[in-house]
Amino acid sequence: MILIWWYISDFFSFIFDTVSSIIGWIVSIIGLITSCVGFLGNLFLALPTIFKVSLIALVAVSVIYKLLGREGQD
Amino acid sequence: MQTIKKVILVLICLFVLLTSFVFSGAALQLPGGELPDMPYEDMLAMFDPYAVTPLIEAQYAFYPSNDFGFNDLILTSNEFIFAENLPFGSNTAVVSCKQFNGAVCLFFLDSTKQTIFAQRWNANNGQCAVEILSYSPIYRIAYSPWTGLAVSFGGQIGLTNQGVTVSSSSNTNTTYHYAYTFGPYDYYFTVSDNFFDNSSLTKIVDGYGYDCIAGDDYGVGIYPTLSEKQNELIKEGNETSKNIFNTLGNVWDSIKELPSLIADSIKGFFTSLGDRISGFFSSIGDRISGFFGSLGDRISGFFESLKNYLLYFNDTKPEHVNPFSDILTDVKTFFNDQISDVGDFKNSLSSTLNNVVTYIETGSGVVNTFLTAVPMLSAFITFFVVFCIVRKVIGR
Repeated sequence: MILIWWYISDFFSFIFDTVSSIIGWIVSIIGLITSCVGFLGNLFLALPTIFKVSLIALVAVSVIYKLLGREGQD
Repeated sequence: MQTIKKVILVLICLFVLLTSFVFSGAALQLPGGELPDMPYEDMLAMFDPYAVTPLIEAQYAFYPSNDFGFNDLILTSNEFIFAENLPFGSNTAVVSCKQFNGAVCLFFLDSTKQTIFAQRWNANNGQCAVEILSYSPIYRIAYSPWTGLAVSFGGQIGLTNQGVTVSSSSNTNTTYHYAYTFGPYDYYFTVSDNFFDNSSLTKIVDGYGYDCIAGDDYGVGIYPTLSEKQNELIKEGNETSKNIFNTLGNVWDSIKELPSLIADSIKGFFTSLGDRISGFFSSIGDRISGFFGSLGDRISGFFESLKNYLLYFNDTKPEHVNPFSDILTDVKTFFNDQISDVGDFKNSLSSTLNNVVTYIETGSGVVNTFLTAVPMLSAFITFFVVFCIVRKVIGR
């Protein structure tokens, strides 16, 4: 029976280690995505001031428009 | 209706991003891809910390007549001109100084600007002669790459770096003017320095006192040893100015390469990304099939051995061998490789994207500089872009 127990424990150890490796890989992917987001931020900061202002206005207006909802007022 | 608004919103986003990209980088390659064709001296003057200073109202240029015997001393717009309201009797102004065959010639312009006086002074025998020349319009405005000067006057007065004005300068010759008050007298000096030829006789300091009369060599002497340090500084200043243009040229070349570099970066990025994703899934598929094929064989083999041992006692007792050990090693190796690949990919991606950001920053700097120089235009464009966005998002 001890042999069977060992094999069962080996199986779950294998599952645990595999999941750990997958989690580590997912973390590295998240790091990649984070660096891409950081790049977008740098790209925004690198734009001429005039376009930064325009983009901020675009986001602000879009958010305000979505929150207030012109149809909601109707 | 909502769908149309969303589409318009997305289009505006794309338009703003595309416009900003074009204005910040790609558009800079448009004007022929080269720096504007401009005379070197004009470009130098644009970046000269000692800015161009018209030393005279510069309405006149004059040409010594043939009778004066200086046929090859015709002064053109390439020659130097300077003027001060000198109290030489009839309120004349020095407008030029030239050396010819060892003689220094000073030219004066009277207050009516109708008559040119010329004084010729011979360095060898100290003889002076005064002659009157005709006049003609002047075009020259001198510029100043250097305003410091250290001279001494007749061994009596030490003068250093005070009140020196540069009458003119070219790539090979600079002329300085200096006014100084000593006791009851005002002294006026001119210096013509060929700073690329230390042995040249064009290094001349010439001076006139307030009470100097025509023909008097009052304390005037050739002083052929201008400061070598000054020469070095002048050369350094010229080299610095040239380096500025070299730097600007390099920046311009970099900007011109921006679109192709960005295109190559993006192309390389997606090619690399596609290969990696494809390789990842094919690799993981092969490995998973290998894992479970091997795992199934091992497990079935173990239980077959166990069954024979328990039921028939006709087999040796099976020994415990972790059937997952090799597989687990493969799994860990596989994911560690993937993590390493992702890290390498992230680093290469960051390098590429940072280059893109750097190039866009360069273009943005140019755009910002331009818009800062024309604030009204900047304000108008900003207002126009924001107005269009707001109007499109919210509607009329």
